[in-house]
Amino acid sequence: MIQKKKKTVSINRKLVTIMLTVVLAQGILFLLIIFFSGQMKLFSDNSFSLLEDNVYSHAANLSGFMKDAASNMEHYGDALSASIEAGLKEENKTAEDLASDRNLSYELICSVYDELVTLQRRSKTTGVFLALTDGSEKNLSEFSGIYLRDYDPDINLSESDLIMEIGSGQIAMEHSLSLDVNWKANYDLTGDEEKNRFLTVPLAAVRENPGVAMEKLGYWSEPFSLYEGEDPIITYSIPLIGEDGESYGVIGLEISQEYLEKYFSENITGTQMAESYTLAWSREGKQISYIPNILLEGILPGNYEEGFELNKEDSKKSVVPLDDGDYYVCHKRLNLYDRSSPYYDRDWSLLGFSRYSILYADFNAIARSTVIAVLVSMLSSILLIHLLSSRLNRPIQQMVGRIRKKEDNQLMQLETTYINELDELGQAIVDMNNHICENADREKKKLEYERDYDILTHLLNHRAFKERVAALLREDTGKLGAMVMWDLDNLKSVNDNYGHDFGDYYIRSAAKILGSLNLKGGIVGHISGDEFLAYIPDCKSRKSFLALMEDIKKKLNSTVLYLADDKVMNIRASAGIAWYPKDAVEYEELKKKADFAMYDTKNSYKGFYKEFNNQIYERDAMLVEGSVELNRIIDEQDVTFAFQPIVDVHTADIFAYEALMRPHSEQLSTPMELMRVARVQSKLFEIEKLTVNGVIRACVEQREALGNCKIFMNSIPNQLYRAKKGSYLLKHQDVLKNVVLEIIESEQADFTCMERKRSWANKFGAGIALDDYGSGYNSESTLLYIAPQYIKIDMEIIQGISEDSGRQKLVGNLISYAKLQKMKIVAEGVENEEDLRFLVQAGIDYIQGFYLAMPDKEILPLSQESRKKLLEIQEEIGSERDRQQ
Amino acid sequence: MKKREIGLLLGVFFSVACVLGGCESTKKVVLDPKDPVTIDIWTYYNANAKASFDELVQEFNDSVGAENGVIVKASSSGGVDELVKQVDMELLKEKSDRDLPEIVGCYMDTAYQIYQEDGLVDLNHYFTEKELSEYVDAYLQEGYIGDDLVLFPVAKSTEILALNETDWEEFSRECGVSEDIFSTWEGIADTAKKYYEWTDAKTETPNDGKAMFGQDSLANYMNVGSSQLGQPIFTVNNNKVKITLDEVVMKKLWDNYYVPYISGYYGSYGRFRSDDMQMGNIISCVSSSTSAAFLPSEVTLNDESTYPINIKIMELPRFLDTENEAVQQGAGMVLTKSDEKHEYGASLFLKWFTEKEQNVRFSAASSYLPVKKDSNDYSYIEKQIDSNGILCKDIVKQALEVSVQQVNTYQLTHSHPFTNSSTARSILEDSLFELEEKDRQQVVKLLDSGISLDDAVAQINTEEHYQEWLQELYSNLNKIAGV
Repeated sequence: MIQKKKKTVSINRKLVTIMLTVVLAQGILFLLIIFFSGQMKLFSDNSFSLLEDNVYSHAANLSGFMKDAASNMEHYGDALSASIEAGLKEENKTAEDLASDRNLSYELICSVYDELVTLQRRSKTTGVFLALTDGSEKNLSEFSGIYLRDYDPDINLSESDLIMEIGSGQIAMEHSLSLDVNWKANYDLTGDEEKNRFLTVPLAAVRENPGVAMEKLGYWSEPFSLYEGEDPIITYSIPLIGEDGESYGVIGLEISQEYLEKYFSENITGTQMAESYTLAWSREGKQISYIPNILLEGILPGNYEEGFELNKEDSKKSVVPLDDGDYYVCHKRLNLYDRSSPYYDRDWSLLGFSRYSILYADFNAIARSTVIAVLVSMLSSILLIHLLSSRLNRPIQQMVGRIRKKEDNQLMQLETTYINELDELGQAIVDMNNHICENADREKKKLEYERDYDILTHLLNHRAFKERVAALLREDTGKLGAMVMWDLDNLKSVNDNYGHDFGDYYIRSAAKILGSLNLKGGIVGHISGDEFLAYIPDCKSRKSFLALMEDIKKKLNSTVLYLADDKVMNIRASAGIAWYPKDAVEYEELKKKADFAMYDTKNSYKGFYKEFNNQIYERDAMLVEGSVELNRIIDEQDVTFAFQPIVDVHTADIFAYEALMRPHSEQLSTPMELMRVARVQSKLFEIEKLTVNGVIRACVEQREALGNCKIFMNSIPNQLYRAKKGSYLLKHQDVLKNVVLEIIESEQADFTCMERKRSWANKFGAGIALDDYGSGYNSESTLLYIAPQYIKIDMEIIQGISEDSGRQKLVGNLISYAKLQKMKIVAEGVENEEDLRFLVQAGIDYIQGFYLAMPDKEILPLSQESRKKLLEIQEEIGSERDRQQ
Repeated sequence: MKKREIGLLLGVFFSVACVLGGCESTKKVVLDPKDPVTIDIWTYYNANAKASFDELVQEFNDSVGAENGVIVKASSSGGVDELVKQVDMELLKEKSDRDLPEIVGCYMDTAYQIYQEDGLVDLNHYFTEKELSEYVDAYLQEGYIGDDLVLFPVAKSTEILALNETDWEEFSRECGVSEDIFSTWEGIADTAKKYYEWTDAKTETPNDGKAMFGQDSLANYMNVGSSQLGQPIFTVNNNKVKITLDEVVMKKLWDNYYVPYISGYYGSYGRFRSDDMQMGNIISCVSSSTSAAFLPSEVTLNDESTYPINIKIMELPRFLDTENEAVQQGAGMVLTKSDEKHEYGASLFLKWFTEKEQNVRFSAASSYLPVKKDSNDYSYIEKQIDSNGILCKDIVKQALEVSVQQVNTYQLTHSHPFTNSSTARSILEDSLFELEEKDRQQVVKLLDSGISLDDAVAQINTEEHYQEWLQELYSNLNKIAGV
C-alpha cells in the first residue's frame, strides 16, 4: 500500500495555525455572545426609549405650560366675569347694552384692566384679551374690548412693556401703553373669518352646548395672525356667560408662536433623539390623523408637513415607523381638553421625528466598534503570535542555517539559544557531527590513498599520476623535464609460467626500484600491469638524467628474483624517454612520445632505453594515427566514387565507367593512402566491402545514366566480399552483371581467393579485368593465371607511347595476344591526341583518359567534342588505310 | 454576561482600538468649525428689527459662522429699558456669578458701566485701522472711552420730524402757514400757537385747542439744543464731566419747549408721540428715526372715528441762526471680556453684521441707519430693499432717505459717557417733563377757573420759576455726576 506522503509543516506555521485558530474561535465566540445575548438590542431600545422620553417630557412641558395658562384663565375668568357682571348690575345695565353704550364697555374694561394685566403676568403669556359683545354677535362688526400684548412675558418690569393692540386710546394714555402701529380702538370682525375664530368659536360653543360651564368651553385656536403681516399666535379663549346662559364676551390669552418656540427650545436639554418637533392637531377616527401646525424645532421631513395618518394599532405604540422607512415618529397627546370638552376629539399632540439612522446610531456605532475592536484585537493577536513564533523560530532557523552552512568534515559549534530543548538538540547535533567528522577524516584519508595509489606497488595509479604531472606541467617551469615509460619485458611469460603471484612479485620488485625516483623529485606511477611512468620535473641536464637512467637500468638488471622452480631471473624493462619541453609540453603528448620511444626500444633492443626520435615517429605516425581515421571512414562509409568513362574506339561511345574511390578525409585523402593504412591495419576486407557496396549503391542511384555500360571497380585480389542473402547487393543483380572487377596487378595474388572471386563474378555475369598491366612485376604470369576478360594497360606505358617505339611494340604484342585470347584491352591515362591516334591505329579496344573524359562524381555521357575527336581520328586512320590499300 | 462586564469589556476594546487607530488630538486653532463657539447676544430689538436681526443671525450662522465655527444666539428684551435693567442685574452680582452675553446691544452709558467693571474688550484688538476708517467717524467717536473702543456702532438712528400732512393741510391752507416753519424750533413754537388757536376756534368750548407738536426725547432736545446754541450741558474731559447750564442757552430751550407745552401748544399724552399722532392728539412730532415704523397710517379719534392720514418726514429743526445739528443715537454693541475664542468669534459677527449689504438690509427692515460711510447712500439702500424683497413701509423709506441725508449733512452730537451719565440723562429728561406736566395741570386749572390762557401761562412762567428749575436741575445733575 502506498502511503501518501504527509506534507511537512514548519514549527512557525504549526504554532501560528494553532494560535490563530484559538484567536479566531475566541473572536467569533465573543461576537456571537455580544450579538446574540440580546444585549445589543438594548442599545436600540435605549434609543427608542430616549426618543420617547424626549417627546413625552417636552409634551408634558408644553402641555403644562398651556394648561397652566388655561387654568389661570379659568381662575381669573370667573373673577373677571364676576367683576363685569357686578359692574353691569351696578350700572343697572345688561350685556345687551354693551353694543350701544361705548362708555359702559369703557367703564367695564377699566374696571377689569388690572385683573387682565395680572392674568397676563401670571400666565406668562404674550398677550391677554377681553372682548365684550351684546351676546348677539350677529351683524356686529365691532366688539369693544381690550387686547394687550407683551412681547417678552419673561420680563415684567412695568406696564410700559405692554402694547395695546386693541382698546380705547384713553386707556392707553391712562396706563401709558404704547400703541401697536395697527392699533384699533375696537375688535373689527369684518374680513377674514379665520382671524376671528378665537372669538367666534367659543361664542358659538355656548349656543351649541347650553348649560355647559364656561371653563369647559375653553378653546385653543389654530395659529393665526391678529393683523396682516404679524407673526402667528395661538390663543386660548373662553366665553363669558351671563346668568341667563347667554354669552356676552370672550376672555383669553395669547401665546405667540415665536414665544412657544422659544419656550420649547429653552426647555430642551440633553441629548435629543428627534431632529424635529412639531405641534399637530390630532383627529381621532378609524385612524389618527395628524396635521402639524406649529413647527417648534428643526425641519419636518418631506411629506409630513401636510399631515399623515396612523392606524389604530400603530397609534398605540409611542414610536411608529413612517411609510418612507427613513423616519420614525413619536407622538404624544397634550391632553389640552377634558373628555367633557367639545374639542376633545381634536386635541393637540407633540410629534418628534427621528431618523432611522439616528435611532440605530448607537446600536450601529457600538456594533461597528465592537466588530472593529474584535478585529483589531484579533489582528494584534495575530501580529503578536507571528512575532512571538518567529522569535521562537529564529534560533531554530539560525541553527539550521549554521548546520547547513557547515562544510563537510568541519567541526561545529552552535550558539546557545537559551531554550533548553533547542540547546540540547543542538548539542546532540554538534556531538554527532564531530563524531562523524572524525570518522570521515580517517575514512577519507584511506579512500584518498586507495584512490590515488596502486595497492600492489604503492605507487601512484595512472589517474593520480596524470593529475599530478599535468598539474606540474601547467606550471610551465621551463626546466628540463623527462617523461619515462617502462615496460617490463618478461611479465607475460612470468605470469604464464609461474602464476600471477610471481607476476605480482615481479612487478613489486620493479616498482621498488622505479619508486626510488621519488627521492629525486620525480613522480612515479604504475600505469597498468607491466607499464610504469615516471616524470622527473627537474633533470638538471640530459646527461645527468641519462646517467640516472643507466643507474636504474643497472639496479633493475641486478635485482635477482627467486622463482618457484629454484630458478632465478633479473628484472628487465624497456624504457623510452621524452623530454620536456623539447618533445612536448603537454602530458598526453609527452606520454605518447615516451611510449613511442619505449616501443621503439622494445622493437630494437629490449631491456634498454631510448630517447624519443622525431624522424622515426613521424614516419610511423601516419600508420599509427591513420588507423583511427580509417576506422572512421569504414564506419561512416565516408567515401564517394567518381566515374571516368571508358570509350569504345570502334563506336566512339562510352563502353564503361571506372568507379574511382574518393575518401572524405584530410589525412587519408587518396585511395593509395587508405589502402596502405588498411593493409597495415588488416582492414582490406572492410575496404573491399566498402568499395563493392559503395559502387553498387552509386550505380543504383544513377541507374538510368549508367544504362548498359559496364562499371569497372577496383577489387583487392586476396579479399572476397560475398554479400549475404537479402542484402542490398543481391537485390541489384542487374547492376552486378555489368560490374567488372579490376584486379590490382601489383598485389600478391592468392590463388584460392582468386578462384572464388572468379566464380562469384561468373555467378552474376560480372567480368574480371587486370588492372595496371605493365606497371608491376610478373605481369605475364599474372595475366596467365587470372585470365581476365579485360586488360587495362597502365598509364606509365600509355603516356608518350606515340613517341616510344619500345612501348609501341609492347602494346602491339599485347594487342595481338589479347585478340588471340579474346581479351579486350583498355588503355589508361590517354592524355593527348598523338597517343590516342597511335592507340586507335594500333587497334586498341577501349580508351580511358583525360583526353576524352575526366572522372566526374556523376555518370555523364561522352561529350560531343570528345566523340568528334575520336571519330575524326578514326576517319583519318580509315582514309589513310584506304590510301595505303 | 452582566451589563457591567460588557461595558468593561467594550471599554477595554475601545481603548485598544483607539490606541491602535491613533486618537487624534485637537489641533490648536483659534476656532474650529467642528467645535463652534456659541456667542450670545442681547438686544432690545423688537418687531421688524428683531425679525430682521434674527434672520441675519441665522444667515451668519449658516455662512460665515459655519465656516469659522461661530454660532450666534440672539435674544431680545423687547425694549431698551428692560435690557438696561437686565444688565444692571448682572452687574449687581459678584463678578464670578455674572452671566453676561458675549455681545450686548446697549447705549454708551450701559457700556460705560460695564467698562468701569473692566468687563469690556477694546475692539482695537480685533479691528484694523483700515477697517475702522470705513465707519462713520461720529459713530465711532461715541464708542471711545479714552483710547479704548468699546461701543461698536451697528445700527444708528437720529431724530427726524414727522408731520401728519392730512391734518396739516387744512390748517396750512386756512392759516397760510407753510411747512417751512418746521425748520426752526422758533417757527414750530409760533405755529403751534396758531394751530391751537385755530383748533380752539373750531368748537364752542373755550380753551379746547389742540396741541400741534410733541417730542419723544427732551434729553436730546436739551443736549443737541445746548450744543447748537454754543454751550453744551455736558462736557467731558478725561472721563470727568463738567456741567454747564448757561442761562441764555437754557432760557432758549425753556422758551421753545416748556412755554408752548404748558400753553397746550405742545402735548404729550400717550406713551410715545407716535401714539399721540395715532390718536389724533398731535399732528407733528420729533422722534427717533427708528420710530418711523410706528408712525400711524390712520388716526382714530376718541376711540371712534378712524381716517387715513399721510405722514411726511422732515429733517430735525434747529434754532434760529444756528448750524444744523442732530443727535446720533441708537445702541451699539459691546464685546464683554470672555476668552480669546469667544471674543474673536463675536468680533467676526460684528464685522459681518456691519458689512454694507447686511447692515443696509437690517437698516431697511428696522428703519435704523447703516454705520459705514459708503452705506449711507439712499439709492443703494433702496436697491437692497427691492432686491431682497424687504417689507419696508413707504414711511420707513421716507424716514431713511431723510435720515441718511441728515447724517450726511448735519453735525452729529452724541452723549458722552461718564459715571451715572444715564441717570443724568434721565434727570435731564424728567426734570423739564415733570415740571411741564405739573405746570400744564396748573394752567388747565387756571383756565378752568376762567383765567385766560396768556394770563395763566404768565402766572406760572415766571423768571423766578425758571431760575428755580435751573438751580434744581444744576444741583441734581451735579449730585449725580459727583461733582
